[in-house]
Amino acid sequence: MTKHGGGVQDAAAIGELHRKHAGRKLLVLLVLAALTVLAVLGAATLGSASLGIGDVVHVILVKLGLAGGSVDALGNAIVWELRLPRILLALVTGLALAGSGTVMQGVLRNPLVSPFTLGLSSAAAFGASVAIIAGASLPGNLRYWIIGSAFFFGMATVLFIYFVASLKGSGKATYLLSGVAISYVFSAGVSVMKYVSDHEALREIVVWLMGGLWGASWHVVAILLPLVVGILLVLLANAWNLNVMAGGEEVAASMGVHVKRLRLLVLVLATLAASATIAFTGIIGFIGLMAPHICRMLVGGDNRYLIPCSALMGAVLLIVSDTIGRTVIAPTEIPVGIITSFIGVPFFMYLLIRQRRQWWG
Amino acid sequence: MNIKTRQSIWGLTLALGLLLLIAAGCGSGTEQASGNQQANGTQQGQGSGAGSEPGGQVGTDSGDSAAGEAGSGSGEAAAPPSDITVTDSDEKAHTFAKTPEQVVILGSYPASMFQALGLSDLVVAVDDFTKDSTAWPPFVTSLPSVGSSKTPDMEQILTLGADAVLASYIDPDVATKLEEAGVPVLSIYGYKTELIPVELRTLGRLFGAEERAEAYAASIESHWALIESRAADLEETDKPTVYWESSSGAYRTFSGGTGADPLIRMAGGINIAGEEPVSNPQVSAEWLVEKNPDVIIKYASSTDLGFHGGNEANLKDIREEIVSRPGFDQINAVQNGRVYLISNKITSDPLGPVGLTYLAKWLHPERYDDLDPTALFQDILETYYGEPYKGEWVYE
Repeated sequence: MTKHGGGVQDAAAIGELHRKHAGRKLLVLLVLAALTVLAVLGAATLGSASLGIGDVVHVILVKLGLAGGSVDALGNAIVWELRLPRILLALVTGLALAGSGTVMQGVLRNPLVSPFTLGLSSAAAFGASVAIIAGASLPGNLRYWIIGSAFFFGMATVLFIYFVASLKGSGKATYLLSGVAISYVFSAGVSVMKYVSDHEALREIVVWLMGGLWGASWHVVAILLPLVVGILLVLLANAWNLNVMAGGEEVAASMGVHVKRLRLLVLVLATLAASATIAFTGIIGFIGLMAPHICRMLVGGDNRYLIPCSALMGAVLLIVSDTIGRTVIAPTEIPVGIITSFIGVPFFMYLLIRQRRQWWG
Repeated sequence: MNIKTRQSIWGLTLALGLLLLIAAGCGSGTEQASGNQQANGTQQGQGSGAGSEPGGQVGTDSGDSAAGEAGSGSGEAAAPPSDITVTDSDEKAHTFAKTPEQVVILGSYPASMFQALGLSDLVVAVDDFTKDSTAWPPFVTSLPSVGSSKTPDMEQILTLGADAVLASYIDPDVATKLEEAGVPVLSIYGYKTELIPVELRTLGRLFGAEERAEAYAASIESHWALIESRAADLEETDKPTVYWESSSGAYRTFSGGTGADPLIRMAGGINIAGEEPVSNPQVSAEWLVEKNPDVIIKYASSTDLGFHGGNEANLKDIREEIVSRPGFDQINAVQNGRVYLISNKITSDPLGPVGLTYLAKWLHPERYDDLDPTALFQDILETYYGEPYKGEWVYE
């Protein structure tokens, strides 16, 4: 019952903290929002093609109807058809992975949870591999089969884990253990596929597992952006209930929160956002696990600030990483996962060493 | 403390036991291999009929096939040569007391060379990919497989009594272990264009098929020279720029030193990624759009183009995917309909002259008008491989 009491204190403490530091948190949020805009604009001016900042700004202004005149076809193709969709895909992927990581950590009250530790990533990878191997025998465009299959297996895994947890009672460990177990099964499945497939399909699986944003187009952005932003808004609307749940399930139940329903809703939405983006980008690790932790250190545990802060942090990290990845040895591109690890981990370690408060007892 | 000590002693004992077992296994494998070698040597020397041992058959058949198909080289195969030293494609020297007679081949490119040199009867096993996925050259389908080409089943290789392994791509650790067990592992890529004639001659020398190897290597070189000579007077500005994409993913291309790059140069084109430091770079889309290649070539997989024919629907989809990428409507190759698909079996391969001819005709139709890639292919297949022409190889 100490847990119960502790929960009440935590909830009270969060409220107190909120009143005291609301201004500071808002400031962090505003700075992050500004950084996101800056990152988008900065990334738009950088690339392997030799275009000046003026050209880039001109293309964007003309396309947005903010300036007159015409743009040349090459500038249009490079800025409007290639760079911007890619930057926006990085943005939306960062939002989705970090946002879903945050709420998954919150709802399962476990710092090690992310779309990846729950087995979602291996499941999606397995789904993609199945489609890649089946490749030639599938009708229509293989790309959509890969996406659909990744999405299907990701969703099925989370629902399955939820089902196991509801049978076993929703202990903290149940999710993580079943997630880890499922990951192993699907990883083994992917290994088997890699083993039995021929060299060409194998290479495609490897490319997909590495993850990257070169599949970007306005079409993809148009699918993902409304979906992800919509999901984040729904999650944000449930932020207070998530805060209550952080104090313990008994407390939340006593305060009229439908714990099971909330947890299911949050998990399904987070999975939807994560696997929808993973399906277009391949597996991009780190962001979903680290962005929430970084933000917890910056703004604390109040989900009303934490969710948008993490989402924006994920977006900034991914845009910056991808821009570095595509420019540092241009025109050769470095997979974004490599860069996120190189720049994200030192930053994360720095915050980890500096932080004073333990968020996870 | 006690428990720990006991554990480590147990661990040590176990490790030692395992080591002993491994050593024993290797030892017996080596014995078996050398035993077979001897049996072969005798039978081949006598030129006598089929032995009951697989090794015996292999030895005898090789002499026959070299004599029958090449009409030459049988003398060399039969006469027991003194030490043969060859240098493989990793610049590693190997010395053989006598011609290897039971060979395991890992990779379809060296296997293809073996058939072209009339040496297919020496092959006792191949890898899974060569046997099942490429099914080329045809003789591989009836052979046992030793598993993956990168990490083959070493025990099986030793059990088969192989006296040489030819590998296009093998894990270096596996190669070292095989060598320690007494089986030399020769690196023969078979897909690096400029090395192909060299490798053919190396194999010819080691396996006593020098004349045939020389004939094939020289025909490849003279075809290169023919294509090159007609492009020789081109100004740099008259050379079309080429973007050549791998079958393994969008925007993955080939820089200098790979199979595709020299072909582009010979056919009077410029590889837009030729100067990139990474051999298989993943390039950025905007760079590609800015470079604006005149011709785009994409490798199609063996299920879409090859001896088993073409998959029209897939090929159409593959080309559609390329031309509809964002920004690609700005690229010359897309605007002028110069996007082609080709099988890698006829480019970076001993069959490379065929692909080179297609490429040359795509880059400079007026200069290579009289050349017929299909007829050339037919000729090579009949002369060196003893196989009929079939299948589909390009999508234009």
